[in-house]
This record gives sequence, C-alpha cells and structure tokens, in this order.
Amino acid sequence: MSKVKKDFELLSAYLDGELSPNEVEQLKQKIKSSLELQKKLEDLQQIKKLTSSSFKTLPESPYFETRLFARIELQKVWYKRVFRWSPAIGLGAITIILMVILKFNPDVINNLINQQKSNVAGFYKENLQPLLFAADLNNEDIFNFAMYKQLPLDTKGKQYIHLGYDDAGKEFVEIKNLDIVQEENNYEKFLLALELNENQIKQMDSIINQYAVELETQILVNTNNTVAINSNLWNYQRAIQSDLLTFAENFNEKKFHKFVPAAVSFSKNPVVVNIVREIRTAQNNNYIILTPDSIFSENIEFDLEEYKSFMRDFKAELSEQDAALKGKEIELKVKVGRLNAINFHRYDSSWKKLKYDYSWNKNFKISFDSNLCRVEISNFNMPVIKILNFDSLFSAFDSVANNFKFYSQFIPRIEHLDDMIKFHFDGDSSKSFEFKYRVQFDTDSLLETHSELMDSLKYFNWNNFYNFNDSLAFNSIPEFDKFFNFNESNGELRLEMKELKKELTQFRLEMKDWKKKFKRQFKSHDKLEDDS
Amino acid sequence: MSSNNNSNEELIQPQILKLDDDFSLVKRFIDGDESTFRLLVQRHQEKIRNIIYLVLSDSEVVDDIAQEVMITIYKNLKNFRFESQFTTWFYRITVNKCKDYLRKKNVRKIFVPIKEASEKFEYTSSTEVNDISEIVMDAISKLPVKLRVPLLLKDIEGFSYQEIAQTINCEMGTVKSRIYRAREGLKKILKPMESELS
Repeated sequence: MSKVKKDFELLSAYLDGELSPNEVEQLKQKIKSSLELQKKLEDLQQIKKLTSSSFKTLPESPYFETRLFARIELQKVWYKRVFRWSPAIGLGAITIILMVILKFNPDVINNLINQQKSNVAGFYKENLQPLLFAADLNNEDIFNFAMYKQLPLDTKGKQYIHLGYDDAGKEFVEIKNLDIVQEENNYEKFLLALELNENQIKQMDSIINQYAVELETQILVNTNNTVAINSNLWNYQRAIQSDLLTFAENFNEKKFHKFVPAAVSFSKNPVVVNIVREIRTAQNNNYIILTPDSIFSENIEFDLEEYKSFMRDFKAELSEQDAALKGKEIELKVKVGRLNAINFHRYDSSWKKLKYDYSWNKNFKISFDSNLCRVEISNFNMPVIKILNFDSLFSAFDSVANNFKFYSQFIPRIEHLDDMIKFHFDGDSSKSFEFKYRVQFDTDSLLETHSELMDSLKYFNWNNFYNFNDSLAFNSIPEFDKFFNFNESNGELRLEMKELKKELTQFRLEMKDWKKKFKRQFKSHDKLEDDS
Repeated sequence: MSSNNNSNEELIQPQILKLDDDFSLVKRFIDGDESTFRLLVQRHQEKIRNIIYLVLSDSEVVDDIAQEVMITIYKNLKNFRFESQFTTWFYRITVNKCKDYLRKKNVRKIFVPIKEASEKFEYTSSTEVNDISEIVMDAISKLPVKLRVPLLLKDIEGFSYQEIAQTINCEMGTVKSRIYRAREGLKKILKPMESELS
C-alpha cells in the first residue's frame, strides 16, 4: 500500500477517533505540512457528516413483539419439534417393525413376492381360451400334432408350437417360425396311402374330430401373449398318435404294413388300448404357462362347458349383429375388430428378454436362436403314465410316423434306362409323378476346361494385375497382393500351381477308368432286372 | 440484610457481567426464566431493525428478518458462552442473517424472467430522489455490502472499530481500510450530485 493511501486511511480513522494520542500527534504534523492531506481531511469530514446525519430511524413496529412471541410459542409446541425429526423417527420405526415382523414371520417377504407373482399370473391367466378356436385348427393340424408333434399358434400358420423329448427323455416345447417349406396335406396322403374307402375316411375324420374337442382344453392362449400348455399334453399327443395308428392298422392292415414292419402290431396290443383310455380319462389341471416375461406352472380350472356356452352365445350375438349391421360399414368395422382381437395370437420377440431371468423357480431352461424359442422342462415333474415299456412303445410309434412320411415322400421306385433314370413315387397315387434325370457326366470336357484355365494362368501377366477395371476388386487388391504375393517373380504360388496341374492330370486318368467301370456295372444291373 | 446479599452477589459475579447488563438477563434466561427474553427483545429490537434496514435498504423485509434474528437468538441463547459482549454476538447474528437474505435474493434474481427484472429496475431508477438524506442513503446502498456494513455501523450506530471487527468477524485493520474505501466510494458516487448536496 502506498504511503499516501495509508495516510488517507489514518485520516479516516482520525475522524472516527480511533487513533492513539501519539498517532494523532504525528498525523497533525503531517496535515500541517501537506495541502493534499488537508484537502482529503476536508472531503472525508464532509462525507462523514453526510452519512452520520442522513439516516432516519425506522418507525416503530407496533406488533413486532406480539408476532415474535406468537411464533416462538408455536415453535415450542412439542409435536412441531418432533416433526423436524419425523423422517429419522419414521425410518427407525419402520426398521424396528420390519425386524419384529421378520423375527416372528421370516417368510413374509417371500409371501409378498409370491403374492405379486400370483397377481402377475392372474393377469396372464385372464381370458385364456382354447388354441383350437384361436388358431382355427383343422383335421390336418390335429393329424400333424399326432404324428409330428406340432401345432400352429395362429391362423396364418406363421408360428408353431412343437413338442418333443431331448436325449435324456425330458420334455421340451419349442415355439418357432416356420420359414422352411412344410409338407402339406399329410393327412390326405395318409388316407391315400392306406387306400381307405369313403366310409373309413369318415370314421377317421370322426376320430380326429373327437380328439380335436378334447384337445381344446389342452392348449390355451390369450391376447396377453400367454400360451398355457397342459403338462399332460405330451402324453396326449402319444394317445392320439397310438389311437390313429391302431385304427389305421384295423382299417387296412396290408397297406399299413407297407410302412410298418409286419412284426409290429398295435391293434392287437392291449397295452395301447389301455394307454389311450388312461390318458383320455386323466384329469390334469396343471399348466405350463409361457408369458412374454416369465415361465411358470399353475393350476387352471378351465370350464369347457361354460366356454362352449359362451362361444355359442357369442356366435349367435355376432350373427345377429352382423345381420343387423349389413350395410352399416362403420359399425361393422367395430365388430370385425372384436373378432380379430379374439383370433389374435402372436408370440413376439420380447421373449428374448427372458434370456437371463425367466423362470420363477428355475424349473425351466430356455434357449433361443434366430428361428425358435425352446423351453426345456428339465426340473419339472410331468405327469407319468405307469405302463411297462411305455417309452419303447412310443419310440416305435414315432418311427412309424417317420416311416410313413418317408414312404409317402422320399422312397421312389427307380427305373433305370439307358442313359436316364426314372423315379416313381407310388405312395401317393393321386400325386404320383415321374422324375427324370439325365446321367451324362462329360468328364473329358470338365477336365479340359480346368486345364485351359490352368494354362491361361500360366500366360497371365501378373504385373498387369492392377489394371483390372473392377471397382469391387480394386479395393481388395492390396490385401490380395499381400496374401498371394502376386508380384513376386519366384513366388511359391507358381510352384504350387505346377503341383496342382500334375495332380489334375492324374485325376483325369483315374476318372477315365472310373467311367469305364461305371458303364459296365450299369449294363449288368439292368440285365439282372430284366431276367428277374 | 438485603444490601449485604446484593453485595455478595456482585462479588461472586464474573467481572464481565458488570460490564454488560444484558449478561444478567441472559444468565437468568439460561437458569430457566424465559421471561427475561422479552426484556432483551424490548431493549434491542429497534437497534436490530435499524441495522437490518441500513444493510438492506429495504423496509419491507426488515420486520421479517428481525423476527428471524430474534428466534435464532432465542434458540441459541442457552449456548451463549459469555466470551464476548452480548450485543456483539447479537449484531453478528443480525449481519449474518442480512447476508443470507442478500445471498438468497441474488440466487432468486437469476431465476426472475428478464422482462420482470427489467420492470423492477425501471421502477427503482425512476424513483425521484429529492431529499439529501435520501440521496446519501441511496448512494450508500450502491456500495458493496462488505464496505457498507462497517461504514454504517460506525457512522450511524456509533460502533467502535473493535466492535465492528467482532461483529463482522475480521481484523481491526480491515475495518479501518474498509471504512476509508467506503467513504472514497461514496464520494465518487455522490460527485455528480455535488450541487444538490451543497
């Protein structure tokens, strides 16, 4: 701080009477000899005078005291004080209450969680209705279920439910998108293969219809994207399968044994009859419920009669209203919307969220790929049918089903002609066709082409490789070059190509020999067939 | 007899109690006689209200803040340690409450819509100031708080530098410097209005 400024501060303090007598004496001496200090003292005196005289005291506040003591009294009230501590007191109280509850009822939290689970389960179990109605299943679908364990989940057939058994014999269920081409009209082919008459076909239809009605309560779906599968469904599939095959055998044993070994007979096996009876009469309300965010098992009491009566009423109402609304387009749309809502069922990709935490009790194991969602029922007790050799019997059923499929689709009768083979599919007479394939392996021309290619490489100027006018290749050239060493004059590639050419020449000779042998064998085979 | 008792009491009282009669009231309050608080309020409320007004230059908020100060005093009086004068402690709380108020006001200003803020500004700037004391008080209010408070405590309330230092919690040298700077600042602010002041 400058000396002058310090003197000015002393002047200010001097005016305030805050200097010691010595300081006052010294300052007075300085003031006498300094005009600047004299002027400054004058200024400061003027300012001090102004500030000291300018303040007007505030008027009294008449109710100040009254208001103040009222506020103080209010703050004295005990609960007001307690209120300040209420968060801490509340927290403490809750902790103590929880400790007491957990001490005497340690399961309370689990019970609460279970309660929540049952609420969620309740939501997903709402309005469950038979899949057969929702997906509008027909005889073909039921037949496919019996034989190949799969059922469509929606009317468009875009998603299927597929039952199966893993290597350990435990059940699994898959929900999959069927993008691959499916064989169609399996039921029709089955009837044709058995060469059933019109009456027999009617009987077979009635069997299937009867099962369709019973199947109604086995798979339930709703608009909350829930699929409830009765845990007895796997057995039920076996019952339908065995019943259908038994009937098939009864109707036309000769044709039946075209795809079943003669030693195997279902209709004469009393066990099969028992199985069918037992499974059909078994009451099982336990369902495996697949929802968009969890998998669990619950008992569902589904009243089929009530549902049927509801559907009757609903259909009647629909037909009445449709009749009434003819020509009234807007109102009709509302009705159509309601119908769609009921027919709707679609498993969506939100299922993929279940990857980590899906099963409430870890009874189920879930896996995904791009086309399917598979639920393995590894730790869950499925209904067991106590019949001797049950599994081996049903593996026989499965092989029969596969044989039939193979028989009707894949085993042709082959006719060998001179340079032509004809394939006859006899299993399905109505759709039988010939499949001609001309056998003409022109190995010489094939090898010639290869040889030319190899020679062309010989004369190719690798130094001009960069002159290719190919935009796609152009970007890759540096990488190619690094990999193949095209620009190296003594590259290993040339040596390898020489080796390859040698091997190809050897291969050419071998192929010539093979061709001669093939022709010889072909002729002798035809001759044998003609003799027989 | 009674005079003897009184003289005994005076003997056992600490020396400092004799210097400030407020102490005896505070001591009685601490001993459980809460009625003495009313006496303390009556004794100091005008001073407190004036200090608040001086610091804030806003008569509308004076009573509210004065009440806050009194309630703070009431709540903390039992913890008073008789290490400084009661008034110094009292005034320090008052000045701190004023500073709190100004801090909150400045924060609130940030959130006042621009239009509203400019309207307010126009209102105060258009106020005509005719009286000399109003001109001076207006100029003082333009000083920063840290200069304004020591100046007012000195020139209006008549505090010593030591009392001011204890009240605003700083060194005496700082008080001396701030008061000089406040006066210099005031001189500059008032310069354009010299003719009106003379």
